Amino acid sequence: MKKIFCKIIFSLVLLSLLLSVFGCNEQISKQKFSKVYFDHFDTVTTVVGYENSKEEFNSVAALVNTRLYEYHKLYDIYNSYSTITNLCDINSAAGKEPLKVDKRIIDMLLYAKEAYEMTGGETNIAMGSILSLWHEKREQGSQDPDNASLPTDQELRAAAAHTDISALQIDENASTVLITDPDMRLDVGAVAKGYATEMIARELESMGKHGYVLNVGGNIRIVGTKPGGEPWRVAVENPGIPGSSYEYVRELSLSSGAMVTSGSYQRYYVVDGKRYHHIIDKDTLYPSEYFLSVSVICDNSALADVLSTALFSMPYEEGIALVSSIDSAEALWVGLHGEIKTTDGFPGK
Amino acid sequence: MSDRLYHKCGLTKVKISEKLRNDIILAVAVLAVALIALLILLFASPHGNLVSVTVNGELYGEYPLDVDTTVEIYSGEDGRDVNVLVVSEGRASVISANCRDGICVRHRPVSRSGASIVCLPHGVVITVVSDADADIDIVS
Amino acid sequence: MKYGARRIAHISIAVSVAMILSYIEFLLPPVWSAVPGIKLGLANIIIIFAIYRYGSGNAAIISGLRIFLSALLFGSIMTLLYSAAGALLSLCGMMIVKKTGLFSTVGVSIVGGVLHNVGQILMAVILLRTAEIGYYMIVLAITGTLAGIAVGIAAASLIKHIPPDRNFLAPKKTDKIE
Repeated sequence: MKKIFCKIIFSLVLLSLLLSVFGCNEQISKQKFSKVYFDHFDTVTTVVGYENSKEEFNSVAALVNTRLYEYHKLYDIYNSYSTITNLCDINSAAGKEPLKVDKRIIDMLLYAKEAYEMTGGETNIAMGSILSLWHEKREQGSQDPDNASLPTDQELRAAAAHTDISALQIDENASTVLITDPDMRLDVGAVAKGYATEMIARELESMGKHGYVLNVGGNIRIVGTKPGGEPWRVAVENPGIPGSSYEYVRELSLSSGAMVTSGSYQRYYVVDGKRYHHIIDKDTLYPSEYFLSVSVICDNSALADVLSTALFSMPYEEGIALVSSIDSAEALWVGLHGEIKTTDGFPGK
Repeated sequence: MSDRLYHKCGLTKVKISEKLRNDIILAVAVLAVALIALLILLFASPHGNLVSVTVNGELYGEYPLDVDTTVEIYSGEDGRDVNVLVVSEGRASVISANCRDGICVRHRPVSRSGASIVCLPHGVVITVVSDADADIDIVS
Repeated sequence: MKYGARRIAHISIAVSVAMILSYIEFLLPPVWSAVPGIKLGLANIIIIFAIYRYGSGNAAIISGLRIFLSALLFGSIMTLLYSAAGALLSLCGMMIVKKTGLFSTVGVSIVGGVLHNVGQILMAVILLRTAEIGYYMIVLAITGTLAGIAVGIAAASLIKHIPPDRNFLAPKKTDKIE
C-alpha cells in the first residue's frame, strides 16, 4: 500500500514538472504595477512589472532602487563616500597610487575598455577632463542662465591632451585601478547607466523574475515578456523635431533585450540662445551636431548605451558601418530636421 | 430553446415548461443586472484619459484630459517649488515652472496614454493614463 | 460515509474527466485575450452531473480534488487560491439553486458559471487590493451566463445518457430509492 502511494506521488511530481513547461496559466492572477524613482544617476528611473500582489512588486522595485543606489555611488565621479572607494576616489588618486576597488568597478571599467576598442575610440571614458569643463559650465549656466558661458578653446585643448585610455591601468587579480596620467580623469557617463541597468536586469532574471521592464533615464531593459507572452509596447520619444507635435517618432514591440536613446534634448543649457547638450564629440570637443537623437536596440543594455552614445557623435555613414559590424544591434537616427533613418532590421513604424 | 430540446436533454420528469421559464427568467435577470451595472459605470465614471500627477512618487492629483483646466503643482520645502500644468484641447503641458533646467516647460504637450512629462528637479511626473490598457508601456 | 471501491472509482473517473475537460479548454485559444478569465467552464459539466447523480457531498469532494490536482499539475499556489474561491462559491450557489427545485440544470449552471467568476474576482480584490475591476466583473457576468447555458445543456444531456449506477453507495437519496 505504501509503495503504491509512493509511486503515485512520484508520478504526480514528474507529471507536474513536465506539464509546468506548458502550464503556467497566469490568467487574472497578475496585475500591472509601476514605480518611479528620482534618486540615482541624476535621472528618472521607472520600474514596470506584472506581479501577483502590490507587495511583491514593491519588494522587487525596492531591490532595483537599492541596487541602483549602490551602482550610483560606485560610479559617481562627483562625490566621494566615506564607506566605499569609488570612481571619484580613483580620479583623485590619478598619478598617485593604485586603489583597491569593488569588483563591480573593475568589471565596468574593463567593459568600457572593450567598448573603446569596439567603437574605434568613439566611446572614451578617459575624456573626463573635457567633460568636466562642460559639466561645470552647464551647472553654472542652468542656475544662472543670464551669465551662461562656454569653456574656452584653450581649456578644452589642454584637457584633450590627457585622454589616452591606456593611462587607465586595471589589475584584475589585485582588484586595483590606477590612472597613471595625473591630469586624466574618468567619466563613465556613456557606459555606467547602461551597464548598471544590465547588471540589475540580470539579477532579476537570475531570481526568476518575468514580466518586468526597467527604464533608467531612457535605458530600457526588458526582463521577460508580459504575462501570456505578449511583447512590451515601447516608443521612441520625439526629440524635439522643429514643427512636429507628435509625441513619438516610433512605436514598436519588444519581447526581450534593451533599447537606449541618446539625445540632445535630455540634458543641455543655453548660451546666447544656442543650446549646448551633454554629449561631446571627441574630435571637435564641442557637443555633437549630427542628430537630435539616436536609439539603439540590442540584447544588452550596456552595449546599447555605448552604441547610442557613439552613434550620436558620428556621421550616419560611419554609424551604419559600426552597427552593421555588431550582431543583433539595430539603430534609429533622428536627424536635425526630423528626418528618420534606420537600419533595415529596426522594428516598428 | 424549446420544450422539445429540453425533452431531448432528458429533463422529462417534472414541470419542464415551468423550469424552462424559470431558467430563462434567471438568465435574463443576470444579464439585465449586468447591463444596468455597465450603464451606471459608463455614465458615472469620467470618460477616457486622465492626467495623473505625482510628486516624489506620491499621487498629487488626477485630472480629466477632456476638461480644460490649470493646476499649480507645489512641491519641495514649504511648497516653494511650483510647476504650472495646463490641460487644454485634450493635451497636457507645463507652461511655467521655477525649476533649474526648465526641460518640463519645453517638453511637447502630451495626450496619448502612457506619455509623460517629468520635472526631475522637483520630482514631478505628469502622466496620461487611461482606463484601458496603455498603448505604450515605456518610452525611451 | 463509506469509501467503497465503487464510490472511489466513480469519484476518480469524475475528477479525471473534469481535469481533462479543463485541460482541453486550456489548449483552446483564448476567446478574447483583452479580458482574461472568459471561458466555457467545461469542467462544470462534471460537477453538475455529480451534484445530480452523486449528491452534494460527493460533488464537493470531486470539485475540491479537481482544484487541488489542477493546481498541482498546471498551476501555482496563486492559481489555487483563485480557482478554489471560484469553485467554492460556485458549488454552494449551485447546491442551493438545485435544492429550490425551481430550475433545470441550465439554471443551476448559469448560477455556477457566474458565481465562479465572482469568486475569482473577489479573490483578486482581496489579493491585489484593487477595486478597479467593476467592468471586468460585468463582462464576466455576461459571458458566465452564456457559458452557463451551454454547460447546463451539456450537463443535462450527460445526465440523460449516462444511467445511474445502482450499486453506487451514495449516502442519501439514491439509497432510499433503491
